[in-house]
Amino acid sequence: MKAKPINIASRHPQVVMIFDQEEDIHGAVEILSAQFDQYRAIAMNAETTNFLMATKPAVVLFALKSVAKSIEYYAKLVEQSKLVHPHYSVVLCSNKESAVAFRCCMKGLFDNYFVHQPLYEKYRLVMIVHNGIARSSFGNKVNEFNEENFEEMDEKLVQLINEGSDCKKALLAKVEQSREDIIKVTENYQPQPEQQKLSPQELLAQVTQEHVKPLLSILENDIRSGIDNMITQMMEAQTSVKEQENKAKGLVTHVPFIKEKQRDNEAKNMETSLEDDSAAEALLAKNPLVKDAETNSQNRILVVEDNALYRDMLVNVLSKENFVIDEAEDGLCALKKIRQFDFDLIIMDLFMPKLDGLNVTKKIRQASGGKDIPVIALTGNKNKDLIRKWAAFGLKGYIIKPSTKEEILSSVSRVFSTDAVH
Amino acid sequence: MRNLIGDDMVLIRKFEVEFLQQAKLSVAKIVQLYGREQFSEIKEEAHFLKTSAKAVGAEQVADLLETLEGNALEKAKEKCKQGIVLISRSLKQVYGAVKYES
Repeated sequence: MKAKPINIASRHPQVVMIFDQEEDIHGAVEILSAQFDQYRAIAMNAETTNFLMATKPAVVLFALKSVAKSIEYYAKLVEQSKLVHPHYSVVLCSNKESAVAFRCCMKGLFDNYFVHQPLYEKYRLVMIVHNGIARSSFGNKVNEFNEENFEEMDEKLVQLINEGSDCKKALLAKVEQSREDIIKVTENYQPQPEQQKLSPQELLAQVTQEHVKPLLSILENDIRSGIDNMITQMMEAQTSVKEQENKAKGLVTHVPFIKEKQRDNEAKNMETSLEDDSAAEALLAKNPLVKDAETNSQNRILVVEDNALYRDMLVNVLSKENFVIDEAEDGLCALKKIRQFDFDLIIMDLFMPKLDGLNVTKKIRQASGGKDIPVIALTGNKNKDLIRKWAAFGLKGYIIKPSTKEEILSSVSRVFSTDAVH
Repeated sequence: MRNLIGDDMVLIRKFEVEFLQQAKLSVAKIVQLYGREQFSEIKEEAHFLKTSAKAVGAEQVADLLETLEGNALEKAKEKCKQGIVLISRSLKQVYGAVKYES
């Protein structure tokens, strides 16, 4: 039976498969051409290297006659710097060569391998290529932070600092000069009869008030506006970076929810008093994780942390355990959400702008109508006095930043275990 | 960072890139505050960035930021200036490492 012709799907493909013989790759081609629009299979010949250099594909699949031939060709590309852009390399092999292909990947030659003769796991091939595209795109994003960008920033920093220093020196020199001038004027001054009552110190104070202070004010304003202009220029140059940051934030799953029925355990008294060191220490003790994923999905957690990056990490860790997560960037935002929604737990940074952890906790107690919502503190140090002060307002534990996943889940689990006992 | 978010390389890269973006804005802000001699604000900003640096495993940057926090608290202007330059250099090394791993 005659094989179907190879599908050539794109002139500028994201995914490229290099092959020796069409009939060897027929199964893989059908899967890839069905899943990826920007895909192309090319036979290996004298033009293949130029094609790869011109198209810069995110994923390159090597489906040559043997793994050895794939290694030889890929090594040549790398040695001759023909394939320098961020890419994901996959070697396709027969079942009998799978051990060789596996060892190649373990040694870091290829990023992954796939057995296509015989072809059993077609979804795995799609998953490998999909992950390869994602990894390459992050590689490209990293490249956007080029060396020049940092060099320029470094130079501007030094320039800015030196200019600030020079301005201050010039200012101090002028002040000193003015002082000397005033002293000279005072020494040579012949007071008029009505001014004879002023002492030299009083006169000096008067001149300072009327002449020196306005001069200082003008000079300070000049320095500030000069430095502000430079900072503005630097900030403008970073606009594209901010846009990237916003896009990256969009990758984190955010799970908002609406307020539901009043909870049955509203009157439950969960107040904890930590009046001595041993009680504070007990908050650090690790308990085993007892919540399974199904139970977690019923628990709603508010993460309050002004640092977006660390907040995203916490949301990521807790979301994977199937908790329902909402987030707030400061104390005021947290209070708004607490008034709108019911939460089973609040994980909150100790030091935040606008409203700190202690005051937020006090207001939570007022806002929740006597209901004792458990709070876990996020803190950068083991400030026991402050933690103890917080404890009086219902603190159930604390997490030293940055903790491990296990420590975070253990603290959360402990709260919900205590909750279940009550 | 693997202790916190696991071995997902795509996620690790995402947080590393986010850290570099955050650090760039934060250092520019610190320089601005330095020019105005607002030392308590410098301390707060350094503390803020230190959390991120520790979270992504940029230990040297985190140590330098902690030193800057101390110098800002003491209003040691010259030491703050040296600290800012060292932090900028250390960030470049982090960038280099991220680029190499990619």
